[in-house]
Amino acid sequence: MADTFTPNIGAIIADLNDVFNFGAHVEANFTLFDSLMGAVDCLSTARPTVTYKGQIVYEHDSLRYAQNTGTKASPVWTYMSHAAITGTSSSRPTSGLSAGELLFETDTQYLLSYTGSSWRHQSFCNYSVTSSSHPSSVFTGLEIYESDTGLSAVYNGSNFMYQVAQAAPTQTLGTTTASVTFSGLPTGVNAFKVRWSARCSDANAAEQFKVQLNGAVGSSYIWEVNQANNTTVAATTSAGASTFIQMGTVTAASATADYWASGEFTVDNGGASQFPNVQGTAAAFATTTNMWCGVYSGLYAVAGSVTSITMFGATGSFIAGSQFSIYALQ
Amino acid sequence: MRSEEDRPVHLDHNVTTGATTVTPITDAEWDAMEQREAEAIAATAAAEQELAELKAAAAAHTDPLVQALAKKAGLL
Repeated sequence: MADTFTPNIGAIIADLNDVFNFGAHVEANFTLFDSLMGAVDCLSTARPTVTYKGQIVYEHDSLRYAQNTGTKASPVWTYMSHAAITGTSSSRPTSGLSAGELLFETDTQYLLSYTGSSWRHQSFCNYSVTSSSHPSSVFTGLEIYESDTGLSAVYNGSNFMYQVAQAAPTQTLGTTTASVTFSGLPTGVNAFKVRWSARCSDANAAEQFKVQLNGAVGSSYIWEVNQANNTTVAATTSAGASTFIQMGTVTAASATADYWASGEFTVDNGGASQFPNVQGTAAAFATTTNMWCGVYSGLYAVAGSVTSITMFGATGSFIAGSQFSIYALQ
Repeated sequence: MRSEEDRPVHLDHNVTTGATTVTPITDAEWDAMEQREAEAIAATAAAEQELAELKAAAAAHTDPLVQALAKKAGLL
């Protein structure tokens, strides 16, 4: 009959009345029992089989302490770990787990918790990832930040849904500025939206608000404008290759004081077989009876991604206080 | 008379690096800018002169049809 009662740790201590025989008592019967004391070092796959309730072991493969919360005959090893388990994204623990355990991946620097059946990412801030390396273990509400595109996205249960992101700080001009450029635009973004509010410095009522892409100053553009100037509505085109795209009309120095122009346009990124497209709206007010409003569009006839957007007036510079903002759209 | 304090600049904000570069325009760019401004002013003046002449010519006509057309065109 199996012994299920007697503790495994015990000692018979000699007293003064005992006859101590070194050979019989020590040499012939010496038994180590240090393997039964303290936190016994072992592997998670080779825990002590001779144990007792309350025994503590340390698994040097899983780096965790465990206690026998069962019985001598039927041990149940319960982890006592208070620190996250360390591992990698390709070698997460799969056994000996209980709900709520934490895992720190040394390769991704991510913290995950065990739900009882699978590992799940835990986040106290957005995950910094790239557009081509999203987290592999996601949950509804998980928010990520793509360091290559500058975009944030939230997982809705089936897809990452992108948010409109400001691609650069708003540029508020501190001095007269001939041109404003947003360069170093990330690839992999579908479109950029630019908002502007401006007035030019030259002695005219208003002038064309021009755009160039990728620093191209040659005849690489075509454009179409449908613009009203007071009661006259006119359609104008570049009528062939142009060195710019007209994306609005901007008020200039001959306009009534405090009369400005504003507008917005979207640049759709191109591809290997797609020329970038630009379209937008704008309005300019020069006097109480002289104003412009229209729809503007253009094409940059060079395939590939847009990496920079430059804006300038036809004849003058933008005055201090003019503002330019850019947003990334996915 | 140009003043260096009035020299416009080019502003370039690099989205990738976050750096903003401000570069003064060159003398050639400044010349071209002033040339374009002068041409635009001249073109505006010419257009205004032409409009004034058209209005004067329209006002001198007594033909009802011409006057009606001129009124429709905003010349009267």
